[in-house]
Amino acid sequence: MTTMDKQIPVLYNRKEECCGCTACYAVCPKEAISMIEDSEGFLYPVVDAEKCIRCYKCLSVCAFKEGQREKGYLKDTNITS
Amino acid sequence: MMEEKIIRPGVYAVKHKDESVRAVSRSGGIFTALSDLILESGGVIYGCVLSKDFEAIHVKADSVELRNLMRGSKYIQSELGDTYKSIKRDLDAGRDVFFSGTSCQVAGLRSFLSRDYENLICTDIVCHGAPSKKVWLQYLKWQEKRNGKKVVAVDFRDKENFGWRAHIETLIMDDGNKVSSEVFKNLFYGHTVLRPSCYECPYKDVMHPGDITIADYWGIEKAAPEFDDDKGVSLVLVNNDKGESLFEKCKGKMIWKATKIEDSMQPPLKAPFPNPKNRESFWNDFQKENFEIVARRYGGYGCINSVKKHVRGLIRRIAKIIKG
Repeated sequence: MTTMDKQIPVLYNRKEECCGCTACYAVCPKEAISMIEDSEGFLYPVVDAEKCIRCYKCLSVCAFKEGQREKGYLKDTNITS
Repeated sequence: MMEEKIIRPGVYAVKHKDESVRAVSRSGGIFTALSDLILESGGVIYGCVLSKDFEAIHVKADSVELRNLMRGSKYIQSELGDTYKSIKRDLDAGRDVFFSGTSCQVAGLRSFLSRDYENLICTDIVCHGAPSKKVWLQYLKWQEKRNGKKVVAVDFRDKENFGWRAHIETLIMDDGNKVSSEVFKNLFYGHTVLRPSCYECPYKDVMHPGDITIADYWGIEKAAPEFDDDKGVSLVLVNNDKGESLFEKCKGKMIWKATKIEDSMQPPLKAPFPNPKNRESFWNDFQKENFEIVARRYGGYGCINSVKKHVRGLIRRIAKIIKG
């Protein structure tokens, strides 16, 4: 299986799961993540599938979802691969 | 001998001894006192300022003048840009770094760094939730149009003219006149303008990711009534030993008192505010209607709303009298 066959990281399923802290954007070794403004004016990370090497550092760096999981806000635990 | 049990967080009511510092600070001036220590030792401060376009951004300061721009509250989410990477470079170069932000920004920074740095100190604020900058910028445009003037400076919470407790925003226009209003404040407290993640914020707790957590000391009239002069008192929560040792160093510049957490429980220390039922209708209106309508419907703008408010106040007072 080549890198590109692996799934592109899903940084959040619902907007409630992303606080926009930029940790995933900053940790990406390929600068494949951009912070893009949504229609409400909040920044969310967007992964460039071409640049992404599927190292998933952006998933493991997410402290916010980890905190949400501990507090019981995150029902689904299939986010980190 | 029994070792004295350390209680975390350590809770303090704090005011800067220098009244001129307190006057330009949101609360009691604790951010200035703490960051002064880092600047004096040759370190750098990362904190939130307002850009010339009145957007909140995180910048680096290595002087008192730049640091001073970080004081005062900003009721919108700040943009971090490349702040995390810049902090890592400074830390790896051995510089002392002081970071100030929301709890989610501190937690994100710590996770990005992936290890402890002795030369990093983080403070977070007790955060109500982060409003949309888009709503804020539309609000400013609306005020400019209404007044026929350009906004040249803003104060999200004008302590100078209205006192510490009041929450009234003041805009300074290009002819020097001031426009004070509660429309943006009302939008904020309606919670429709908050980032969706704020409704499920895991940091709405007594313990925070910062070494020290700072806030307005709501409840000061009970916790330390002798501190209460409506000019601003900081609530300081010391979360760990590192925070304790920094706070110890600035005590000489402060008037302080150890207080009780039970007397200091403002709502964001307990739980996030829920996603309001009218959030969707707010955003529909915001995207479709002109801001005047949004201000009327959700921002308490217009005389009917202010009449309602006064009637509500009257009812509360009467209820209080009846209850005794």
